[in-house]
Amino acid sequence: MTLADPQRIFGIPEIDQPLWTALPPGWLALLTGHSGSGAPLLAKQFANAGAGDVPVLFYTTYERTEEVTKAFSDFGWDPGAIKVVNLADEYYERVLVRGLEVARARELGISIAELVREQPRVRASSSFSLTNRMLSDLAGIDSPFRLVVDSVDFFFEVLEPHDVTTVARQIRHRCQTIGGQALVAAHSIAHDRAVFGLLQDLADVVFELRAEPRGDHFEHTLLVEKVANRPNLTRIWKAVVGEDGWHVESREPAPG
Amino acid sequence: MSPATVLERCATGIDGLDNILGGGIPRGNMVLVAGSVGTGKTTLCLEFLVRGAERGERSLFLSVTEASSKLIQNLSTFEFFRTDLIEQGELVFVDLPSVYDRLGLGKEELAPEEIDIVIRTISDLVRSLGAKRLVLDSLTSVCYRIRKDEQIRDFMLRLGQELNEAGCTSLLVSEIGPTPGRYSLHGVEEAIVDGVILLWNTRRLGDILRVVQIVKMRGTAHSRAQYVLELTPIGILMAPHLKGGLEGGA
Repeated sequence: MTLADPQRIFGIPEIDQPLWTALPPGWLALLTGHSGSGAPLLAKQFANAGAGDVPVLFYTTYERTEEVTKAFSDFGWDPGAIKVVNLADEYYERVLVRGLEVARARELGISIAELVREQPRVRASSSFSLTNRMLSDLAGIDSPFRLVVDSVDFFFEVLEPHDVTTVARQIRHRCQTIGGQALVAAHSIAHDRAVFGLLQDLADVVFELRAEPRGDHFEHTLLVEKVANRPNLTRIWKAVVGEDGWHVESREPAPG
Repeated sequence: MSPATVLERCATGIDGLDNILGGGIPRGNMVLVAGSVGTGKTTLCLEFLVRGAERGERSLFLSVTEASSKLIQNLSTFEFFRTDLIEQGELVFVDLPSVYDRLGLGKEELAPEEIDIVIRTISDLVRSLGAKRLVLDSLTSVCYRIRKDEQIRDFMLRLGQELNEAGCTSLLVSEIGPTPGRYSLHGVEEAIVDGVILLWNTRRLGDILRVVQIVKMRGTAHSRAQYVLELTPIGILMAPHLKGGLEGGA
C-alpha cells in the first residue's frame, strides 16, 4: 500500500506535527462546530492541505459550488486542485424537484398532451440514493485520497440514522485500506445522540471549533478532543483567522 | 302501461357482440371483460376502441401491463386498425405507470388519498379528452394495489359514477385463472360493474377455441349463450358455440 504523506492535516504546524505521526496511515476525522464557529472554513483548509499530493474530493451539502471555490480563492488556495461535489444540488434536482412535480401533478392534474407527448419515451430514473451516491464514489477511488463531507447534517436529514453510520464506516474503511484521510463536519447538535456518539467513536480524531463572545468580538477555540490511543495529545488552542486561513496560538492560562 | 325506456347504445362495432346486446352496450355502462391469458380480452377491447374512434367517438386506452407502443405495434397487424386515428387524436393511448410516476404513486399499496388521486386523474383525462370510450387494461393490476375490499368497492363505485356522468362507456379488463370461480381478482369488482363479458379457452377436436359469453349486462336484455370468438385480420368474428366434441373447458 502506498500512502500519501503530505504530513499536513490543516497546514497548521502546531496541530499537524504531533498528530500526523500519532494517527494511523488512513484515518477519519470528525469536526464539530456550531453555526458561526468557522468550522466550514477549517473543513476547506483541510481539503486545501491535501491538494497537490493526493486527489481531493470536497462534498458540500449546503453551499453552492461557487461559494466553495470563492472561499478557496479568498484565502489564496487553488480551487482547481480539488473536486467539489455538490450533493445538495444533486439531491435537489433528483428528489426535491421531483417532489414539486408530483405536488403540481396531484394538485393541477396531468394533461393528455403531456402524457401523449411523453410516449414512448421512458422517463429517466427519478430515484436518488444518497448512500449509493457516496459509496459508489468511494468504491471508484483506488489510490490515496483526501475527502471532506461538509456537512453530515444533511445526511441526518435525509437518511435513516443507521445509514449515516454506514456511510461513515465505509469512508473510514476506505481510508484504512487505501490510505486516505477524511474529514466529516457536523454543524448541528440536533442529531440523534446515539448515532452522533457512534460517529465520535468511529472517528480517529475529533476536532471542535467554538466561538464565544469576548467584549466586542468572538474568541475562537479549537479543541483537539480525541486522538485515538493518544489521549495525551488532546489540547485546547486559541484559534484565529489570518489571510491564509486558521492559525492557532497557545491559550493564556486562566487567571488565578 | 308505458313503454319501457330504451337506453342509448354504444355499438361495440363487433357485429356478433352488438347482435347479442341488441345494438351495443348501454351507454355509460362500466363492463368487466374477464378472462385468462390468450382469450382475446385485449384484442376485443382494442377493436371496441378502434370502431368507436371510426364513429367519431374519442377513445382512450389506459395500459397498465403493457407498453402502449408495443400494443400499437401488435394492433397494426389487424386490417381494421388505422394509424390515422391515433394521429388525429381520436384514439389515444396512455401508459398508466407513467401517470403513477408523475403522481408519485410508487408504493406497492395505494393509500386512500392516493386512490382518490387515481380516480380523479382518470376522470380528468376522460373529461378533458371528451372520451366516450375507455379501456383500462387491466383493472386487476390497479386493484392489486388496493388491498381492502371496501376500498375496491368504493373505487369501483366512484370510478363508475365518474365515467357514467362523462357519458363514457368503459371496458375494464379482468385477469382471471383458466378455471375461474369468479370474474375478478377480489370478487368485489364484478358486483359493482354494470356488465360482465367472460372469455375463456376450450378444447375441441384438438383445437383450442376462444369462447365468449355475456354473463351480465344492466340496461338491456341479452343472450347468455356461449359463442366461439375468432380473431381474424378484419376483426373479431363470433359464431354460436356448438358443444359437440368438447374435450374440456372453463
